[in-house]
Amino acid sequence: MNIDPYLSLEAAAAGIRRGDFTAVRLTEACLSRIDALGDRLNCIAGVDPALALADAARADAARESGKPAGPLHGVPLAHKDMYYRVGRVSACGALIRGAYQPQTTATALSRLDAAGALDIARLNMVEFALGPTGHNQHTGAVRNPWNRAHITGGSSSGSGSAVAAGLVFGALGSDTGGSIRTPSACCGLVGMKPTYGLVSRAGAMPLSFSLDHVGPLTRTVRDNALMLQAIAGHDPRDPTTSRRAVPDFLATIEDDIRGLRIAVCEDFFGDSLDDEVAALTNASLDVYRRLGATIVPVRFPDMQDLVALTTVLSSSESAGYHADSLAADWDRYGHQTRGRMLAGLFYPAVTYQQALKLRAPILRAFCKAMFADADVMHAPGLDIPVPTIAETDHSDGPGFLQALIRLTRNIRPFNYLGVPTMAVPAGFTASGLPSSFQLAGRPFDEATLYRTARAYERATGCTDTHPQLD
Amino acid sequence: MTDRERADWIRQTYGIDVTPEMIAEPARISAANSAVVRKLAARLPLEAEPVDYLRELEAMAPPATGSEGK
Repeated sequence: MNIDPYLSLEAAAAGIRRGDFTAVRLTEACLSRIDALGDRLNCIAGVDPALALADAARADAARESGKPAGPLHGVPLAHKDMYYRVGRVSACGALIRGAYQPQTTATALSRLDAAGALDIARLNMVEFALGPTGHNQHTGAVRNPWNRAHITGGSSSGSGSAVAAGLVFGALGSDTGGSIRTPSACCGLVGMKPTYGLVSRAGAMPLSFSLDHVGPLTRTVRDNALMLQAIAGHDPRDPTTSRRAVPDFLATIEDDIRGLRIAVCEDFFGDSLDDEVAALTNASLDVYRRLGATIVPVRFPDMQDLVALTTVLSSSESAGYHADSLAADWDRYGHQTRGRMLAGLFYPAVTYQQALKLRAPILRAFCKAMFADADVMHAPGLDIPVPTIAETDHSDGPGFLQALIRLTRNIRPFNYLGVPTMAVPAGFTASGLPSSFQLAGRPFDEATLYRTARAYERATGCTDTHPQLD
Repeated sequence: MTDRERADWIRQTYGIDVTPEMIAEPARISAANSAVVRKLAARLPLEAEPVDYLRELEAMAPPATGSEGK
């Protein structure tokens, strides 16, 4: 029996539960596709087929013996190579971490294990998760399955490529300044940066503790909700996680959105939008109008400043992690990575502290502006069509920092705010590359984002088209 | 401070051997972003401690539904 590589995660789990196919058969199909496409896309950091098949056989044995199965039982996933697992290397896309063997397992992985998911490969990423394009001086650029000359986006580049190409059914990424939403946008995926504090970062490589978020990249909205459901919730190992109840995201995901109020910020986001991207963004708003939602124009003049605030925190904190290593191993860091970390060495302590202290009042002001009269916010993703690898190969040349920040200007503000924000596929540009818009919500209101994204997906079939790679 | 002075400071403070050319853009971006923070700090309240941000996230959330966290 041939298994559709673009089967949804939800359908794959249901197929195993019904006995339509086994976890071993599903894993064999994924491994075969990794073998055929992994090198072409340069998305795989490591795979151990024998181990993956042994895990799958254990999942099948558990199901056959009638043991309770989790919602993701037997489904092959793979994750950005920065989620630690005891006994396995986590290279974090870095030369200096090439043989790093963590002494802990990430809570997000443990929770996916508990839900029954299989973890069959490590996925390439930008060095230390510090870059929005997908370039990596050590491991090479990951390739976009829609067109291998174009970027995948980063830093969860392998996650974007592997899921879009149907190598696995979903993947974890991390998002410090857009690293889940950018590859989701470039690869035509659904990507969720959840609320800061909803998902534990314990056992994930730290880059910027104020801004790091853990979340899933998937091919459908429902798949995304399924994965987030498995990993969300308080974790004593991460003191920033909330003790708040985690809602059942699928319980309301099919609900009607008639009467929903969608805020569109008139400041900042439209300033530099490419015409083609603007047309697709506006078309997505037209879909929402047809579905009975009301578009509400709002103002938030400080939006541009949030890009700077995000950068102050991410640069300072990443430099704090790496300053000693930079001194010891300068030549073994990629040029772009060390250039970006250098920027963090220049921020005065007062500036850093003020950027942190401003976070609460700015979040309050943002929520009041955006959600006083609306349920969700709609914004563009990338403001240009997905660029080529060559066009964005800046290394640390003149203007590289500004160019990188520019690429994710619409995406970075939400990391400082910490509100849930997701990338939703919005059709294709003339060159056949995906476009995407963002939905942002009140803190801990991922359920409304999923409902809003799912309504669009139902109406447009935006996640039904897949790259032709065979 | 010139880029050469900045490079000397980086070398003395962090032991990282950089050239003035390497730090020109990072220093310029840092200065621009620091100016944004100063501008906001002059206008917005700074009484909050960083941990207040976590409380603000909870305060701005809709009422909780569902079972208590894991």
